[in-house]
Amino acid sequence: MNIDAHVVGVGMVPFGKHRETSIEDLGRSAILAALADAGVERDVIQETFCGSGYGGGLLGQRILRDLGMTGMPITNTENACSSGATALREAVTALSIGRIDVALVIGIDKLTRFGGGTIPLDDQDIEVNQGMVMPALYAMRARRYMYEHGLTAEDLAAVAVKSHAAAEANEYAQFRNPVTVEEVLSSRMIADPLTLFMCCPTGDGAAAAVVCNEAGLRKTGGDPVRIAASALQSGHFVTGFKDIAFSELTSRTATLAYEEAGIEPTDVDVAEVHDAFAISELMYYEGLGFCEPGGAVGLIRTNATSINGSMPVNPSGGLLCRGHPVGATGVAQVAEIVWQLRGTAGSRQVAEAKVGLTHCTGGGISGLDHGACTIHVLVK
Amino acid sequence: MNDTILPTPFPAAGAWVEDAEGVTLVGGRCGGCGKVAFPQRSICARCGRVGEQDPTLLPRSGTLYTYSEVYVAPEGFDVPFVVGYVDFERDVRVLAQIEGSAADLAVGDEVESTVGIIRKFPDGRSMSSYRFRKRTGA
Repeated sequence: MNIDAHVVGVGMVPFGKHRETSIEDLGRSAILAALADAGVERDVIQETFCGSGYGGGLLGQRILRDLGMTGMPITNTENACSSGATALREAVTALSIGRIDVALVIGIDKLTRFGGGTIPLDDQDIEVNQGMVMPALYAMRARRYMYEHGLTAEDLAAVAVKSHAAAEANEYAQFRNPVTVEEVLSSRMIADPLTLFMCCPTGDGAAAAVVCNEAGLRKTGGDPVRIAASALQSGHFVTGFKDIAFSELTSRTATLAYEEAGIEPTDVDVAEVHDAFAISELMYYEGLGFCEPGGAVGLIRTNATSINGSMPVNPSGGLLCRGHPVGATGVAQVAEIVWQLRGTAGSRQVAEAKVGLTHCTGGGISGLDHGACTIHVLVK
Repeated sequence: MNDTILPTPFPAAGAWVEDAEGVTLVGGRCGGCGKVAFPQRSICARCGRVGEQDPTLLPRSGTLYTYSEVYVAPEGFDVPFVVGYVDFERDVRVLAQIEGSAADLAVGDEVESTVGIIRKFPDGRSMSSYRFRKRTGA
């Protein structure tokens, strides 16, 4: 299938703790912003794809009802942290095969409903029963990475410092305060060696995108950005030995995405990467092919992945600072890349960005690297 | 308060044996391809063979692949506690809690199987399961 899909409008609500706002209202605000950005009225939308990790049944219908937009096909997707990006992939497919010309994609979650702490995992899972939580999984990856590649706690802290510095300029970010290495290291321990500031926060948020094919471009306004690749993979079930300091799943998905887009990792000008924890960002530099295994230490130490570096990663502040309302992330990453490629990202703009990548992976399930991984390549 | 100690439901009974020497985990060996896994499975994930596997004793001790001391966990876990992945011969990796503090552990340590409390519920009940502890004087 040749991809025929363009993002013509994006919108999101600032991520944070929206305890007084319903999840449906968060979704509606993001949709109205995306429709306005695309320069379209609601009746142009032919199908909606709504991704959420924890939003519950019929979330798309619950959101669209009060906008008077139900009646059309609405598909709700759940794929843990990749829920929103999976919804986008379904829209890309529907557009590319020509079933419809204009689609709406929503990514959304409201995590404050759980009251804080780690995100809930399946209690019937053999590892969850032993006390596995997402920070513990990443902490164990960090420990092994440190053992294999000489990574230090200061390097992990540097990832959080970089994210906070970038997010200062992002009005949609949950944390916009600069922090120092010392402050990151002295924040409370969550799962050793990961401290609080090395972990993404609990938060609420929604992001939306209007996506269309060539035919749909004639019905919409906006400033289109082409989708050149849309890849989804799930983790292999491995009961025995595997290298958990390298993400085989991200690497496998990236290979498919680069092939589909006809590019090399070196062609990527800006990337939004799934830094749920400080170690994640470093591991994914390697999984995405930005460097060889072990090379992430050098990238973070030389500021190569800062906004003005040679391979800018997470100019939005990433999950660590923009926040991570699970299902919202995949679509929020696309919004950031669209702004970056349009050249409208303001003081966090990456210079001359033409090719952008979004990467979402997650889901705690024993035996799997992760439940799902999604990668999109966008080109201006 | 209810002081009942529940056995871990995952895996079901028969996941370990205990004798004078200590605790030994019991895995399963696929009758088709020979893959050993813990816990015993009803379908071999490698070759797809369906059917009960042959019970197989894992070595008494394994090697600590990685670990973390966890400070934030759902209700029912007594934080902080240590979890870690332990590698046994024949390509078997097991996650479980590890006794003691992370400060006393290092990647590559030899650990042995044991049994202890892994969860303490607010109503006083607790759950026992296989766990690991650092092997001393080995």
